[in-house]
Amino acid sequence: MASRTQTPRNAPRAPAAARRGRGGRGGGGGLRSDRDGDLTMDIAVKGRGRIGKPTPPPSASRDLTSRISRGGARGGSILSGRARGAILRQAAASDISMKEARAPARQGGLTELKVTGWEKSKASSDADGGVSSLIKWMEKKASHKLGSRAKQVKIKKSHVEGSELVISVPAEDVGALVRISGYVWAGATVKIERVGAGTEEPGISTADLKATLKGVLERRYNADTKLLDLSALGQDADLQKQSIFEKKSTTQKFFPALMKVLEGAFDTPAEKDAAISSVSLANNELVDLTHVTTLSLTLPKLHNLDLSNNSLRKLSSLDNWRRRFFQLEHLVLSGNPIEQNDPEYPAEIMKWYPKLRLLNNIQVRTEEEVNSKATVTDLPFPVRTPLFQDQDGIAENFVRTFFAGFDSDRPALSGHYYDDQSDFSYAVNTQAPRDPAATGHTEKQEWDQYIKNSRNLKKIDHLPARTSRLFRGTQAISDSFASLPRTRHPDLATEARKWMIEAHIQPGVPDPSGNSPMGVDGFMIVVHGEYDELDSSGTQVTKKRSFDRTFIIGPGTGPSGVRVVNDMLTVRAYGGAQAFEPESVGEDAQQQNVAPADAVPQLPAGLTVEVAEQMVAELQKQTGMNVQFSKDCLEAAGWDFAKGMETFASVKGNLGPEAFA
Amino acid sequence: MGTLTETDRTRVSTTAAESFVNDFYTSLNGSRGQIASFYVPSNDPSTGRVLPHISFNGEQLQDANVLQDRFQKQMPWTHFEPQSVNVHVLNPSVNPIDSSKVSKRELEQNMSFTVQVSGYVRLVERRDGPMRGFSDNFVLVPNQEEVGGRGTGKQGEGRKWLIQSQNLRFVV
Repeated sequence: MASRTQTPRNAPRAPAAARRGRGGRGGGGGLRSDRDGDLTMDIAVKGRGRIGKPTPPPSASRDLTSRISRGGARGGSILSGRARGAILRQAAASDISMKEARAPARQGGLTELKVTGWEKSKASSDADGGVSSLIKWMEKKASHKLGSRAKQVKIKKSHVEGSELVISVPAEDVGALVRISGYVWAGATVKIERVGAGTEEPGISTADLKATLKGVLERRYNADTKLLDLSALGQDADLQKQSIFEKKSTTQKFFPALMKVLEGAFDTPAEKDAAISSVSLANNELVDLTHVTTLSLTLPKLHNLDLSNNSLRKLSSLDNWRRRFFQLEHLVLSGNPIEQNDPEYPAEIMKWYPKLRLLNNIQVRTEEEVNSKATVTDLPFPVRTPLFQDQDGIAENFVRTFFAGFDSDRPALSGHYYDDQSDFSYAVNTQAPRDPAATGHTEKQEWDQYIKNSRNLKKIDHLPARTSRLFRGTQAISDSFASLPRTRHPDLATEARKWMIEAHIQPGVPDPSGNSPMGVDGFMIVVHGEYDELDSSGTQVTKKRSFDRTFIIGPGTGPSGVRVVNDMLTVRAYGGAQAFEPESVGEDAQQQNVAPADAVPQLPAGLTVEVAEQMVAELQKQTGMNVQFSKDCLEAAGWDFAKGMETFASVKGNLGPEAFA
Repeated sequence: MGTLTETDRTRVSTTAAESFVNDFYTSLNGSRGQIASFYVPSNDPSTGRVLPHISFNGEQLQDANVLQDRFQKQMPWTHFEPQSVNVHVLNPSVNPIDSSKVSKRELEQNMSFTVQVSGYVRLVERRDGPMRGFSDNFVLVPNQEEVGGRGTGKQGEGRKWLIQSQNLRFVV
């Protein structure tokens, strides 16, 4: 792939020679073998090494292109399989029918065209004067590859009359062939016109303009790399011929018209997005994006965009596309004055395009960063680690017991934590956002088992239904639990990343003993996570769901000493766990470093740091060991001082001088 | 004099939750200067407890003014869309009152609620902006001087319920 695109760049004259060579090689095979065997190669060459092209692509755009072509190998598998099929299905649309009417000579549905100017080509030394190569070249050039109706052009008959090559083609291909008139083939400018039509001077009629634009797009599209190369449009020979850039009015209208023609070539936006992932607008003397802004509407899902070597001076020059191209992965802005004027611009550009990986060929985000923060945009509330304000492990114990019990024994759980004043209800959010990392088709959600008692107040507005969908008391709650599908939650310890559990002290919780009429302190516990939904046998996983569950717990008189006051569950489509990953990694790591647990990791419950330090000091005094060995010794003895002394006595003989230094 | 049936509780709590949710997210989206007015006034820090408790994505905010300030000065355009709302009565009798001596209306205004919201928030711009799923949880208390509120005023023109606790998280 890379070497293929390399060749024409390093040796701009190579394509003609290569084509000629191939023509000789495939000469016996005829049209088919040429199409099947060499199409890819020709397309890869196309546009880049065009002999007639006045300006070679700038270095920056080359880099983008080469990257794209490398990436194209990936996408190429989709396209190369289908490019020759789906994308290359084509019929030259409306412009042809108009020209067809003017076509004078018809032979059984075929139209004759005369081709001149080809004799002086570098292929003239071929046995047939280059005719067979020329025919193949014309078929390729005239074939449409851009659009939903891409199609091969076929030249049915041909004969040489002096300096003229007369070819016969189906009427619908006439327009496509006339359009390539003036192209350079093997060093010679080839002219193609209708027999008897005389020398036609193209004026700017709508149909002609449309045909020209279509030709421009065809010529500048590379199906292999999915690149639409719109660089240096002002130098384009076809467009110059139409005098498009001589008047201000046509200059303004040109690009929107080009985009309209492009859109017209595709049946669906999906086909369009699949066919074009990269656009180069390099070398267009753009001072801002006013003239080209419609690109973002026509190709909103572009991955690669080359704006190099224009006259973009500052960030505001790019403002039109600030909130566009959310899929943009690679942007090239080199060779613009903005580089000197605003050295800080890359930081801003990164904020604009959350999926940007490369800016001017420099990596600005890794693949992982893009995936983990695909949707984050610099908010004043960065995602942090859980805020879990527990006391005496009450909230933690509750969560551990609760979810294990919910999966394994719901009747026991309802007796354990719920009393006649506890209440439970659940709501289904059927429209919730889904896992952003999910690819492919979205699974049906199937809420049947939940919906009949869902208490989503956005959907249920009748008071009796709202009342009956709230379950109060152990029995009602137990029955309601039983009506929900069986579940399997991830393990709290080994799959902690799939959970987000927060808690804080909540005052004003009702006191069942009645001793505190102003209410007592309890906890608000908020749990976000996921579970596997199981079939009735409890073995087969039928669905993966995400949930949010909010508890208010307070002191209770039951066996656990804790009662659930409120239990509210929201069930929603699986939304992944990446939202729980903290953004400010550095900051959180710092917080963990100051935690005392890190300094003295193996202290048993009930032993404070102060007491431990005293024990270490005492052991040092009695044994003469240094701090580290004394600490290690006590750790080994489980912070039992007497055992520590015994340990010391048993290993004393083996200790080297470093233990006492 | 007055007693509240189960239906009364549901009526009062669901009506309160719906109008609260509607007003609160409207304020986050469009009238950010009002945000602080949804919360109970900050309590005396010497009690060792910070109220209102406001937690956004794991960060506990000092008070409602900090939240409002961040929304006004740093938060881009947002559209919070609550897709699911549910409410329970947390405490049916926040302040000790003799139910035989007060009106039904006073009893109704003496409850606290737990509100659970699930929805999405569109960030930065309409339609094409990035979207996150969120879960938001509140404890609402009556706007009474006894619970730290300023009261609803003589004509009852103020907010009837204020946020004592909030826990918001992006969950998708």
